[in-house]
Amino acid sequence: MATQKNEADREPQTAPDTATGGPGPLPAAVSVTGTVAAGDPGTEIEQRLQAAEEGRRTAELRFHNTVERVADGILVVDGEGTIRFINPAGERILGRPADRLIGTDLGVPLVTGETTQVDLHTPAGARVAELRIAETSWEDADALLISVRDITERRDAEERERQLLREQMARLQAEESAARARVLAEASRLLVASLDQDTILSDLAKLAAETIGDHCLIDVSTDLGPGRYRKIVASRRPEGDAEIVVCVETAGPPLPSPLARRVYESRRAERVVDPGPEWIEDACFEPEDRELWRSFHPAVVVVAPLLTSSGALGILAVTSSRTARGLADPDEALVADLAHRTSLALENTRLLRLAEEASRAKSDFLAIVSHELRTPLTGITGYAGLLMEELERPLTNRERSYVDGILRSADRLLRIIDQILLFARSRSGRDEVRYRPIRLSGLIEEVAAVVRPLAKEAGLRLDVHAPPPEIRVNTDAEIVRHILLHLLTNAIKFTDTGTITLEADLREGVAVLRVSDTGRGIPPDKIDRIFEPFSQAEEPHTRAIGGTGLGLSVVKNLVRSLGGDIHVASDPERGSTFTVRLPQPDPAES
Amino acid sequence: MPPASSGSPAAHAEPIHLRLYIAGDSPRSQHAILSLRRLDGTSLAGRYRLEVVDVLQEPAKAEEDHVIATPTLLRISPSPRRRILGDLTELDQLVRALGGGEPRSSAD
Repeated sequence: MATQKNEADREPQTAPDTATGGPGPLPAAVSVTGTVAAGDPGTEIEQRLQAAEEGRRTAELRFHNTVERVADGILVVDGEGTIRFINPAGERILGRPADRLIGTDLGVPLVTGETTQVDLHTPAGARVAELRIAETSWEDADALLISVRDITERRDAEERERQLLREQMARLQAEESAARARVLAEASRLLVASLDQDTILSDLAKLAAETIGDHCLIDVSTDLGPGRYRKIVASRRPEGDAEIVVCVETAGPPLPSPLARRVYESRRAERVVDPGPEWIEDACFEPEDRELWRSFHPAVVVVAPLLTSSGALGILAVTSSRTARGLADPDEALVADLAHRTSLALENTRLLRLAEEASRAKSDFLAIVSHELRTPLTGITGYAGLLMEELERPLTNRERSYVDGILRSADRLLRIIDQILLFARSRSGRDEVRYRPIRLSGLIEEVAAVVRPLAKEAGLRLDVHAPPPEIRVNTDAEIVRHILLHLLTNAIKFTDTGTITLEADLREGVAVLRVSDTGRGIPPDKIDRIFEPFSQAEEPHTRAIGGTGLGLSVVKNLVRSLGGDIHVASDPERGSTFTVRLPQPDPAES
Repeated sequence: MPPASSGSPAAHAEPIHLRLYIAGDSPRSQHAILSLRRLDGTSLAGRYRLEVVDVLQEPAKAEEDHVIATPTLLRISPSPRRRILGDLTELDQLVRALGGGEPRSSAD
């Protein structure tokens, strides 16, 4: 092509000549025959010249056809970047006729490597073109030959392909995150489904072995004692579901393994591909543990620390082996998330157990203290009683009133201690309920007989509405007596004038006991709290009236121990009514 | 602040006014802008003023400058005007093409 160009250079072609929109401004189309025609015709030289001319024409024609027909645009720009030549394809690609292009500036193309891409702005719209540059000469000066290829469609196709790829990636990612979410949701469900540590850990290990890898190992310190460890391993079976293959309590290593120390310190999961013997050495101290790890044939291992606010509890590891179904690659973030949730659940079970133990300890403490207080009190009342019997000598009136004071104070103290003891017992839940069929009227009369003197002393009337004698209820008479005595003494304590009413009946298989008073009532804002321990409707009254504030919470616990419920209705003007409903247990159960 | 110019030839005193034509945010356009930023690391640092024209935003201006392909870089001044087409990646080539104000050998 370069030789053709050089020939074309001999006959410079001007732009206006080719501006007719003809097939193409091919410079070589202008012939040079004029210089040969001067010789004698018919000579050998002439013939040879003619033959050469023929050959040249043929070549020109071939070149012409090639340049005109190629799909690529071909341009020649000079050293200033001015367009000197363009073929029809070039006109088409640039969207302008040659006469509007030749003589205008395109610019000197600066191209690194073979090609460069440019945006074309044609009257038909934006296109993308690829430029390829070759050095040439034009009119005896250096010039550049630019071939232009419209690659808009190719770019669009590539862009579509990329877009498709992006969409596929997004879909895969969405599926992956949906799968992750499913695993985590299932884990969360398992973690709250039980408060038993072994159940939680086994379920979790099975989930991880089924969904994340092939094996899951959890090695965690327990509350069973210092240095006690629980090791649980779940493995996926060929059927696809996982089973627990190891669940043992161990003494555990005296120190965390180097691996455990690493993840405790980094507080992050560690992921290893094809762990070697050294890694397994690091993972465990015990030979049988190493054997266990090796038996997993791990191709990928992710180990995450189990950390709580009180320190590191252990590790959770998920391993994958290369199997016929390919490699399940455990997701590092997913394992870390799972470990985090497991840590929280373990901490919850631990805190719950601590709280339960603390509560039980408190109740035990109260029971012991109450008992210890009662013993010396028995001495006080006993000796005071002996004095009252005047066995040694008669007492003066003053002495008798002193001893009477001692006895009454001791009696009050004893009742308070009894209440505390009862509360403690009802809390520690150790009191056995002994159901027996009893006559309801008899029980009511018995309680009324105890309370009547107290009511009289307080200047109050006691109305008793007992059911017919044939009504029998199946209950624990001791507990019902406690309930009614509490409610009645309470009513007397908080009523200044008027009547205390005690009612009892059996309605549709439910024993209904009711204690009403004409007292000061309970303020609406306090009514929700009166069954709480150490709560009295009006705090200042605590001192004026006395009492532990335990009464109603004890009553509530007692009522509950019988499977019943207690409600209060109160009107500051007219007093309060406590209603206890005790459903009758099935005779078969009792 | 341009680097100390006391040692530079006085011929370099005239600032170079460049105008870059781009088309929206096409990859070619972004590449050209990034390439031109690197001029700050060359002998042209502090000596040129770059104006970026988006042919999609200002088609009239592009028409006026006969811009039919982008990226196209114009040296408006000093004269003679120069016009460069393409990716502008080769920094040395670019600096040479933009030159200082010295006339090209072909114009001698």
